[in-house]
Amino acid sequence: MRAICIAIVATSSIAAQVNYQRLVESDGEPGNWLTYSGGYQSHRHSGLDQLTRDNVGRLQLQWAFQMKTLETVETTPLVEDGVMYLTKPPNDVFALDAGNGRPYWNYRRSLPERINVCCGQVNRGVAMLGDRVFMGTVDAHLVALDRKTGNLIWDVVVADYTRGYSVTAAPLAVKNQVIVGISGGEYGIRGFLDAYDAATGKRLWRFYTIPGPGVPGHETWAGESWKTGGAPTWVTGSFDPKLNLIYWGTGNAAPDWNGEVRLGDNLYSSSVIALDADTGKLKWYFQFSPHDTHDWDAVQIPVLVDGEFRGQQRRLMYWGNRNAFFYVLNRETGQFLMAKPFVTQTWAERIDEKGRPVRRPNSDPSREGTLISPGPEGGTNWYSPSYSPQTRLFYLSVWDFASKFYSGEAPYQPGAHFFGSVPARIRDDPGSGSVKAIDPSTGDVRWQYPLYSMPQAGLLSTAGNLVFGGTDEGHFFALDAASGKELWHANTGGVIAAGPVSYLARGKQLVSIASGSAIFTFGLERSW
Amino acid sequence: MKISVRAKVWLCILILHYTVDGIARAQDSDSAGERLFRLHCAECHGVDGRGGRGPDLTRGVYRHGSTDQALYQTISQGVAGTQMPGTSLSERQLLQIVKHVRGLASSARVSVPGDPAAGRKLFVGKGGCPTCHMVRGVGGRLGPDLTNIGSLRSPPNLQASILRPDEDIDPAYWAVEAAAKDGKIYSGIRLNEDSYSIQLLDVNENLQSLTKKDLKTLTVDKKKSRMPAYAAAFTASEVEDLVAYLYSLQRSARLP
Repeated sequence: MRAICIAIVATSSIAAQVNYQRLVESDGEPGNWLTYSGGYQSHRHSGLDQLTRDNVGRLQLQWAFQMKTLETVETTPLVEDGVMYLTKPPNDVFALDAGNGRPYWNYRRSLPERINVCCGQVNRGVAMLGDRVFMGTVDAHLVALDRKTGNLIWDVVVADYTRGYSVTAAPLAVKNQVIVGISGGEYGIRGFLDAYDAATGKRLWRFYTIPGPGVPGHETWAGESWKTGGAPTWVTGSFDPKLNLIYWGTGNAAPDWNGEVRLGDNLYSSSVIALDADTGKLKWYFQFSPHDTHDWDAVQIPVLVDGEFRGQQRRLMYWGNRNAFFYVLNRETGQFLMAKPFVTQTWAERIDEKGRPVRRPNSDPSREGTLISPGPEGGTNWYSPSYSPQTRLFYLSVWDFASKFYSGEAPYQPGAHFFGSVPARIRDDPGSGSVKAIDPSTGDVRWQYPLYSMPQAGLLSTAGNLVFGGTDEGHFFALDAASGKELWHANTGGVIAAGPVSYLARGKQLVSIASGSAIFTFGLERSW
Repeated sequence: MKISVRAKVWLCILILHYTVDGIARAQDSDSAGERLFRLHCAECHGVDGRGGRGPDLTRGVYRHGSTDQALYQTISQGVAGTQMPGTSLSERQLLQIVKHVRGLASSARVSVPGDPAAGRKLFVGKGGCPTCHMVRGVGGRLGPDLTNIGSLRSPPNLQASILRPDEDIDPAYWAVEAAAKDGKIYSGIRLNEDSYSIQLLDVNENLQSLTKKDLKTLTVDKKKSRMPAYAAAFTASEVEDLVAYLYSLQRSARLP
């Protein structure tokens, strides 16, 4: 009898574990949402099809969870077996019943009084592995919590927050490691990507996104500029288990708008890096915007798709970049395959056959101001795109606008802004935007759905042929994935600056989105 | 009369620099404050402090405390729940920024030509300004309330707004014209808008919320102010009087 009890306990405990194999095969369990982008390939696509084009018009609020925070909620909740794990900014974690929004536990973190984060003390979510959840903090720590209780298991320092380092991205669990990106591109940090042992918190490797002396790529930074060159890794990347490669986007070179003090290509800023998952060694890189002077971080989500490109079956990477171009790369080699602008761009004559932009003359920021499209927030930004294997379309929220870019002095002071001047927006022409469905084989836009304000919300596609998204005015909407026609919307009453997720709770498909300081969850019928 | 927002504060600061007693003494730290503001604050608050992603700092009243000490604290520690970060600048640098921010609010008074009492007569009489502008609870609502305008804007800025109101229009006063499918016509200023609806104050000062799918046409004019240009209506000395009146409308009791 005792032996049986132990066996039962052991079995249930194993079933609750989110082991690496489950993360690799997450497509096989669409009822859960196990990583930031819904799987290592980062499609932000749900295989659930209870919600369809025919019934989505009947979606109703099932529950809301209010968080009493003044910060913007950018969290993507994770869901496993009916339990939702989400972060309340800056750095509290909640576990809820995903079916009715009632909390099981919360973890509260005390933070130092003064934190230097460029754009709000935000957090985009946790990673899950084994019986733990992991969160990066704005004071640049990484913490591991017990999934059943929220108890702190370990807490390690990632970097020195007083120098402008912080963690805002959701970590990514890969094998036995927790991969963590760093923020601080506006503070002259030296960017990196870290891997920590999920069991102990010990750092296993670090890849500096700015090569130090003697390392190839170092020569792309004039003088001492590499020490304060930015290139942060502030949005979660992707992973290919077969190639054993981690793909991660890197942010702007610092100072943002003054390139004169950091002459050279500034590797590996505004790039995608492909790292060996076991060693952190660089396999390849592709720099979208060499020597960027417009703050066009390449921290967008690497979307991994196996498919045909120009008649050949390939392992591809789709990338809607802040610099206004949609890219297709070969993710085995980093080879450039295609680029096409998805909004107005006035900075590049063209992208050459190697994928390097041929810049237009006088497109850099200047003392008198240079008018360039897109503006500093880019044609798109950090918010997640989505790829649907059904429609084979790449969905992206975009903003089409211009700004005047000024160049100015850039004295570095640890822990202080390091901009090199500021761009100016055009007041009577804020621009226009949309959700675009891009055909990845050509870069052509199949349909677009207009947005009123510059977006901050990610997109989710579902097997019910739907695309969910949100607006700054608080509207959460569902579109027909094939035509872009709006099928449903609800006013959540707060800014939506997060990505939606879908999952099962008590057998019913639900869709959740952070808005204002709350999480809203919609479904067809009450499951509780 | 429409007192619109203009990016001319550099000029104003320059003028103030040489006009106001005591400013010259602190010129060095002023320019240091300007420079620090440009480097560390302008990204969100605008080079001229008129706001952007961050709030307008030219109004002299700050949500998180308006004393020097409160400003110092806000700049140093940041504001929880906003995008305003703390900073590791030195105490001296922080004080220089505080001083600069104070200057942005045009709190330093300058003397202006013109007669405020005569200006007031023009304002309520020939100008017909109270049709659209309120001063201390009296007047219309289709233009900005001018009760404290002298604390918020410099004389050159006030003059530009009277003579050339189209040069810079506050998005809070963009003109809206809408025709509904049922034949109703709406005209007013835009209060808010999203993908589905638009909220306005119509010319009869009624609040209207229109659903876009019910509209046949909708135009939001971002380039043309509802306020007519008064360059031809007033003589140069009348404009001076009007500016003097508007400039006298201070936050404290300074009405003529």
